[in-house]
Amino acid sequence: METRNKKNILGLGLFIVGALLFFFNRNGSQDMTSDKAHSKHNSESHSTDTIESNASHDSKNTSNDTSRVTSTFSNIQLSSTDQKQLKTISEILASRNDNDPRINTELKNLSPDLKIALMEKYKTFKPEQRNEKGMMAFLVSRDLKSVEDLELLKVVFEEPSCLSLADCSKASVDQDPHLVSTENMTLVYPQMATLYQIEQKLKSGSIQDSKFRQDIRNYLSKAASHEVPTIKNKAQSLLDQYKF
Amino acid sequence: MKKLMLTLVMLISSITWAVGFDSNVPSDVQKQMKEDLQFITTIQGSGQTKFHNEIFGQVDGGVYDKFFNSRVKNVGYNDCGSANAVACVIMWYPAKMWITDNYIKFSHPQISRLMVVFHEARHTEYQNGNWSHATCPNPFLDENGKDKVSIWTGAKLAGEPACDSTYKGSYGSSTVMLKNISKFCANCSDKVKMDADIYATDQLGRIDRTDVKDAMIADFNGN
Repeated sequence: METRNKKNILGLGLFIVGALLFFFNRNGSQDMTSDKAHSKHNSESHSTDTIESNASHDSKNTSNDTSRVTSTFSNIQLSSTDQKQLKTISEILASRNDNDPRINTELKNLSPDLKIALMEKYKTFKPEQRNEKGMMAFLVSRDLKSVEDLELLKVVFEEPSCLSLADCSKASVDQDPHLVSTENMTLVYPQMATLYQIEQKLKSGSIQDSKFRQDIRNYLSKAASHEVPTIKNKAQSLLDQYKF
Repeated sequence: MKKLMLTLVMLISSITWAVGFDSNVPSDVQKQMKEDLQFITTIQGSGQTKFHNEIFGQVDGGVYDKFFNSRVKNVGYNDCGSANAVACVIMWYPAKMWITDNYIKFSHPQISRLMVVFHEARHTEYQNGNWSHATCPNPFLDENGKDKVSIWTGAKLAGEPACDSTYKGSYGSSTVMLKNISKFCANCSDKVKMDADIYATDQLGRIDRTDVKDAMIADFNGN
């Protein structure tokens, strides 16, 4: 009985030591990450870096992505609200839950700085991360207010087309006609999400400023020369329908 | 207390969705599919079109839950014969669906993943001939008079069994479902509603009869 007690105490002790080691090790690695970021940036961008690292959970080029994001973030000052929203977006992307209610309640009326940060993040996603890219394009275009926003959204139509979901640089050789259109739509998802949001704005009649309408027209004209027919046709149909 | 509540909610959620998974379905694939199916049970609608009422009933999570669970009892793991497939059913295995790694490997929006599994669920209906697809007409042209093709391979859909001639088939019913979610879901995010509309509009292109397509558009517009 006594031997068993000794064994139990020993086991408990080992467990506590193990737990403490795990805890300190974990904190230590977090600190190392933070230190690297902190050496270059202020405390606000430091927080952002940590969020961004979490967001690129499955990226092959995580380190490159992070450095690209931080270099841009050093030029802008994200407010605490921006940072909170950025953290929310990272959490939503990690959860893969497109129906997170915070999309409607907390991610509207984005600041110009946050829009810049989101479109910088857009560039750091792997090309195959279609839904992640689409989320960024959706958030910025849903909040389209100025020619500066259109400038930020240019990247959506300027990046190389994604040829297949497995590897954007190679066209798929094996396509099942049964569900190929689902795949095709996801390939152009960021572009279609952007056009969809612009269409909602035009439909609602909320854009009355003639200069801004002209800017949108110019943006759509560029999209209408895209190499992918789905994108090209959608942009052209908006130009035809809303007769700028 | 919050943790306890969360655990209870998760427990209740897992009980609500009763589909079984074969033991070889990777846990991350299972988890994602369960979460997606759980999401669909939470939908609350503020109306529905006539075609939706005919196929599913109201726009409502419980209705979608019943629709799926009464057709699919078990999910297996398979490559579905294609490097790009997400899910499939095999005609002589009623009530079973197979899922591939692409379910999580490819970055589809959530509603698009659900569209695929509801499309496949419709194919389990052996009493309706599994809603076999119609052969797409040859030529099968888009609105600009050009062949409907796969974007990058250029493979034509003409002559392939990849169309529906009815709004009740797998393409038709998933189009009806998504258009209704886009239009009537009262608790969906703007993103889900947008995605539902984008993918439904695309699927509508698989309806090969103009009169059926026009009737569907009228249905969506409330006519």
